[in-house]
Amino acid sequence: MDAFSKAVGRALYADDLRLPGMLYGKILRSPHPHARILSLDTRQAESLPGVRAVVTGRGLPVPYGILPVSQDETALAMEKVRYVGEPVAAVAADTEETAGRALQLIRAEYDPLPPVLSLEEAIRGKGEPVHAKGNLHKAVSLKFGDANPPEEPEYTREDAFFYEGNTHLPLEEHSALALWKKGRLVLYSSTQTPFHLRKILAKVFGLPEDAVRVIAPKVGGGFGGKLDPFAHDLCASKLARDAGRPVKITLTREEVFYCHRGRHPAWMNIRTSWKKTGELLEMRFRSCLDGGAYGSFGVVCTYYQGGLQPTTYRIPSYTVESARYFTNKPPCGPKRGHGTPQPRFALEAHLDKVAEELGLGPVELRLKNLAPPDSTTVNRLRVTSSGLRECVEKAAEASGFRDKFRKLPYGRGIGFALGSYLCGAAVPIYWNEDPHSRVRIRLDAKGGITVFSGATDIGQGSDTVVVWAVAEILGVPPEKIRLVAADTDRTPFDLGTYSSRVTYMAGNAAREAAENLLEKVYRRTGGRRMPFEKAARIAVEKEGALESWGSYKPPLKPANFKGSGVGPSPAYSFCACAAQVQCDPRTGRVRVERITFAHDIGRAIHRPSVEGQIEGAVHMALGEAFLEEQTFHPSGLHRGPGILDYKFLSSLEMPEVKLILIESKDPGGPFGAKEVGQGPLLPVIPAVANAIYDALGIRMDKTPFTPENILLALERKSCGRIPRVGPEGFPDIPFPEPTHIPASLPGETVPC
Amino acid sequence: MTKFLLDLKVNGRRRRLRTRPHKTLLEILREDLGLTGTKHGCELGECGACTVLLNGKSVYSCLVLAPQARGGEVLTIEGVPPEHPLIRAFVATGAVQCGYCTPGMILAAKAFLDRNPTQERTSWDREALEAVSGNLCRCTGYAKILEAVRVAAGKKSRRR
Amino acid sequence: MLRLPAFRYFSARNLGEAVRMLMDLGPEATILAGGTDLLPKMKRRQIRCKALVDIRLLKEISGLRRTGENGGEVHIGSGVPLAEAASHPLLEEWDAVRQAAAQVATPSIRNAATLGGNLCQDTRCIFVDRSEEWRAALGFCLKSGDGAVCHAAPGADRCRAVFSGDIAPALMAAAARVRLCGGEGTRLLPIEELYRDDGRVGLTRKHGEILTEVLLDRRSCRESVYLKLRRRDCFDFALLGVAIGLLRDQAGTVLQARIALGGVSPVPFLAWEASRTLLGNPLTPESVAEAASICARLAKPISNADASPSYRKRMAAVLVARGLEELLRKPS
Repeated sequence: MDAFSKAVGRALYADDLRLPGMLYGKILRSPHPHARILSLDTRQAESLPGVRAVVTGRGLPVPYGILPVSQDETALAMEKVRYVGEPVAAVAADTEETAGRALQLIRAEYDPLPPVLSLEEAIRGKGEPVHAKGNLHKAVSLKFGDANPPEEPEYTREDAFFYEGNTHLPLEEHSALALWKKGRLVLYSSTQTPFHLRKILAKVFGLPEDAVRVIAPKVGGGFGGKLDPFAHDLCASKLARDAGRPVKITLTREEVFYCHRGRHPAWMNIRTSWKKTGELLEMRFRSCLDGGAYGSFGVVCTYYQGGLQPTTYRIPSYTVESARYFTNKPPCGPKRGHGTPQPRFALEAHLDKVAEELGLGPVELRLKNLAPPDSTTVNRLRVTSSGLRECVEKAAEASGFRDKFRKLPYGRGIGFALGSYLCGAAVPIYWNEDPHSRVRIRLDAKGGITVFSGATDIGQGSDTVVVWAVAEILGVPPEKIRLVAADTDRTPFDLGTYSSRVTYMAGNAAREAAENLLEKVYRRTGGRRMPFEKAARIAVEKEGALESWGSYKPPLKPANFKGSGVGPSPAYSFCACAAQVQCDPRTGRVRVERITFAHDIGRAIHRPSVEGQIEGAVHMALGEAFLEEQTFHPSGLHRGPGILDYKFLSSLEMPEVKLILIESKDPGGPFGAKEVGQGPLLPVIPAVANAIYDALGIRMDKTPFTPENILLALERKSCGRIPRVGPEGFPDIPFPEPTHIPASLPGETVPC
Repeated sequence: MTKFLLDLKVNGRRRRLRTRPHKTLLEILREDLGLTGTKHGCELGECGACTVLLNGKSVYSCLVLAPQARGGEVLTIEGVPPEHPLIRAFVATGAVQCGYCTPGMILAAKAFLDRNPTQERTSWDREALEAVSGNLCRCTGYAKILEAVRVAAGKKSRRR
Repeated sequence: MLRLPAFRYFSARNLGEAVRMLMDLGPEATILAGGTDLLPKMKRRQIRCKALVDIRLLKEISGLRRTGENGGEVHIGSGVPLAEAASHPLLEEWDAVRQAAAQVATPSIRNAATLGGNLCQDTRCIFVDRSEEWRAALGFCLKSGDGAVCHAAPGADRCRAVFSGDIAPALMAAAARVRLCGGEGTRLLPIEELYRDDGRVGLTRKHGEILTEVLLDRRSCRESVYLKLRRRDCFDFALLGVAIGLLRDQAGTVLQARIALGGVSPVPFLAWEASRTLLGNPLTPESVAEAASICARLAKPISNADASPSYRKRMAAVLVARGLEELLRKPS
């Protein structure tokens, strides 16, 4: 919708904004991964000409966190620093150069502590823990369904996998511009959730929420990396208040790596039992997450480790054990897929191994065990529309999977996997009864239509969806509709852009608002049939401007157990993917020749946007599969905090992507639509791993699939050892006794 | 350090401003001339977001020193006519998602098309991808970007 | 936004002026050509200089021309942008040089980066090409400051930062020479003598000297190829660069052979021990394999790049073999 303004360079992102008298802010960051702060002397910095304000931890002492259960951060470190790059102080000055010089004048004294830099170290727990309560942040232990498998297992298999941590790397560096107007804070920020950010700013500054206004300008990519509230949002606001002038803080690319909140490294272990004919009887899924220094969305990620496996497969007896540990590294959080790509990788690669041992085709094994539409999963998730079977069959057919699997010459291979994702979390971050999205439409005195929506477009096309939904109902061209978005003063409440909720929720709210407007307008025309624009003119002639509202709240209540808030969604998208690869066994480099992708979108509202999301998700997945890793040196330093070092695919590495859209017409989605922003990432990584096995006979049970690891696995194969690269077993973690949630109790109504 | 007079043409207009030698063309464009269409993703020449045309060639404006632009002709995204086939094609094919890479991407593509008006050769697609290989995109997966460049060149769209 | 520190800027109008400026300003002045290697390092405060002498206007370093009997010699001005070198008709006979130029970074970098700049680029290391804050947190090292340690090779007494330029190995395989002009006059050297095995100061070029041109002689090499190992097909520096130059007679007997390796040590170097084994006979699968294996032995990378030393070492054999096979397949 705003593609034109972006293409001609007129769209404004946070760093493009400037205000009269604006100051530049910069943040001083910890050089230690773990240390006590002994002293922080800012006097020299304060007296540097051009410096207008300086703030340290004491200046912003109220703790916060994106989740109510993880309010463990302060804007600037107090007493202790917990990762290299953690914000410690901030200054505002007339120029960015002066601010930089001021940082160098701040005298910080630290007492270093031994750092915890890996899962093994966190679990062992030597030395001072990252947080007072210990390194174990969260442990989940749930058993769903039947206490015992329904039949005697005839075959059991257990596999271990490791998924490396990686980060979002949106092309736009985070930026925030703050000013105070008559005691009210106004913050422009490159954020995915203006309303959450407002809530946290209000909390930290001790203000009522309506004294804070947050506006998201155009956002240059987020992928989950701009969901958390950050030091730069809070410090810009504080510095602006102290200096009495607007303050802008724009991060350098290196600083974006320290914000992180990306993919948790995950060590996983999956054990399944089966009948020899390929029916799944029981699954135990274990996962251990390396969470970094703070909570962020980590508790939710921990639950998601076991959350979505049952939306694709029937699992009569299902045990999940997952844990998250703190380490002295930048905090991990939500990245596209939010805690589901790691388990999906493990599950789909494990299924491939099972299929081989049972003598069944990978597609056949999956078809035998698909979770059906209109059913409740063993972990109490309500699945409504599902085009999963059709996705599997179409992807297999279009890729020629059955003709190629195990039949291509050595070095070439094809692999298969499927996936599923939510269309927005049914339960909001802050549990309440309010709608998750509201949309207002104003029909002004001249018949002009303006839509007000709190949803934030980060490039995924949500503005387009909202406008299209209104245009479709009213029967007017989308170009005639103005959109005002993502401004907590002017637009109604919306939870924000995450968990793929916007199309479903804001889209539905927009649809409802449009339907209400239609009804209001035609009531004033005496019900006579005529085009909307004509009817609108008559209606406003009589009464002046008209307004209508729409809202959406998922019609679900979570089930009654701890952790049930994570997973439920009004609908789920489904997808299946075949990856064809060409491997060079001498260099270990893999070229992905083609990705064949079938996605159950429910209904494609705007086809180019849907395709663009799938192609983009495939691109990001391939980055995670081959190139991306967020790793750390023993000193705690990020090994490569830059775009040259942290690599993702350029235009030259991207394969051909063949797309098939399945429209299962979800009954609850706006016009039947479901999500596409995150789901398509999920099956690509395991499909590639499975393809590499088909090509070379080696199992890449750990990401990324680097040339070095491919050669290592080939070497093991040629020595007669197990031809794989990956972890063994699972660490010894003190999981609590599992809470048993049976499939249903007699007389209990299934949640709907 | 002493200021000097920078005299150059930007988007066809002569601009003169006093600046310092350690300013980059990126900073001059965004901060002195208010042309914020040119973006920055790394400031180290590792992403391409700051691409502009200097004397008809694509360069990273974050690596061009102000004095190096003296007497030069700079084209930024603001100087590309809105009716240009590339702009129309990028919008129509869905090649714009978050839009942050788009200005640099369009200018890199323009430099390619200016040198390569449609010629039928099998390597054209590969050459177009190479022409934008210096512009990273995190959103689109490049598929629609290639499509837009093809459409702008007057080639038949590949979409079914 | 990352910004440059302040410095004095001078634009030289001719070679003599450029040399005089460098001499007058002293060792805190640096040559500026395309700036694509220098500016990122200045932004990260890896290189600190008080003055830049811009040599782009110098006519003496521009353009390409043919000289010598039968036009057998080509001079390439050091100021020629890599994009121009990558497709220049005068370089038709030197595939390796064109291939190397075409594979540097990205099109936008190649439009600004110069031949001389690529040859004189600073050595690289994953512990050095970092911001000042990052290096300070780790502790400055032999190259990154006045430190006395090496983070890549603990206990090392000298710096082993890597020369990762692509053009140098290609020119070595072509037996090229370079001209340096300075306060004490001009000197012409084989390209290999431009480099010294020291990651800190990897060039033998003296302060005040400017590399003005590269000379290629048709008699020294007829067939050549350059292969670059990296993770992506653009942006990335070479994890390993292999350049091969051969002179063969009608029967395919190898009369001259030069194999140059880059990206595995502070200097690009000629693997004489390997190329010697190819002389006097046509290429065979066995002689190719032997030369490749010797190159892998001669390559001694350490853990200061974005791929393990053992991988880069192993790939030396793979790429040398591939390069020789590629030349074998070409019609002579």
